[in-house]
Amino acid sequence: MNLLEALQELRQGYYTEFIKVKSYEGLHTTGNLTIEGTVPNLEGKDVIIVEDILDTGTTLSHLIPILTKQSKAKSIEVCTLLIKRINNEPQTQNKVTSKYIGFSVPPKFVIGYGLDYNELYRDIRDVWIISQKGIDYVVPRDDC
Amino acid sequence: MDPIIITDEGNSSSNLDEENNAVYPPEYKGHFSTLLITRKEILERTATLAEFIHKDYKGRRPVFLCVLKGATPVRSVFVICMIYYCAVRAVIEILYFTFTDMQILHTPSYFKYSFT
Repeated sequence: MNLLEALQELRQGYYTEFIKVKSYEGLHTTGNLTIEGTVPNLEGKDVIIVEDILDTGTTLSHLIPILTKQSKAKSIEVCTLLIKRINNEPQTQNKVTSKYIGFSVPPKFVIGYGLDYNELYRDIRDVWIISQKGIDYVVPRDDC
Repeated sequence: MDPIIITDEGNSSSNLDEENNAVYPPEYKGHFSTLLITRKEILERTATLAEFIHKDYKGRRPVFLCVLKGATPVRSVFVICMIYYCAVRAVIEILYFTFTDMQILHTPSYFKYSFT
């Protein structure tokens, strides 16, 4: 979390909270998002949702109304390191607008710097576009 | 705020320098096509983002909410299918062996020797 470290340098106070969400659709998510466990108490708080990559924004487009309703947060903003362009348009049509955005990346499969594909490639220093070989790669397994 | 636009070709002019760029475990060789953003660029950008946030939230204490995503149903459906497949296969094998064993056990031995 380099962002938080940078904020520490700036003497900016903050809190951190984690929530786990689950959606019941497949790759092309359409809805039915639930928050697992308890929703943290965010009453009267200024909330900044931190994301690594904002793709279509489906998760957040469902999460933000739930949070607004249930947690009574004072304000909700989104901060994302990467935003994926849809159809390679510079003006993104993602469902959620993010106030703080690091980079706008092409609509390709990006991995590295914590972003994974099937739990692989998190262990890479930089962000790359995955190749077909990388997508097809299957980890050798000993069991059946 | 406007993001830094990364094109399909990547942002780094150092992209040509493959030797220096290939900072990843050797088993990943050939798994990537284009270097988009280096860690150095990420660190610089997050510092800028932090300044923007600090400007907006000075004197307040925002809550940074990290969203963890659960397993996608695609995977769970696959797992369920695998379990069913294994179960059905086990049943078939049990039945198969039961019948073959029964054949062995219940084949009247006089069949074999009745004409001798």
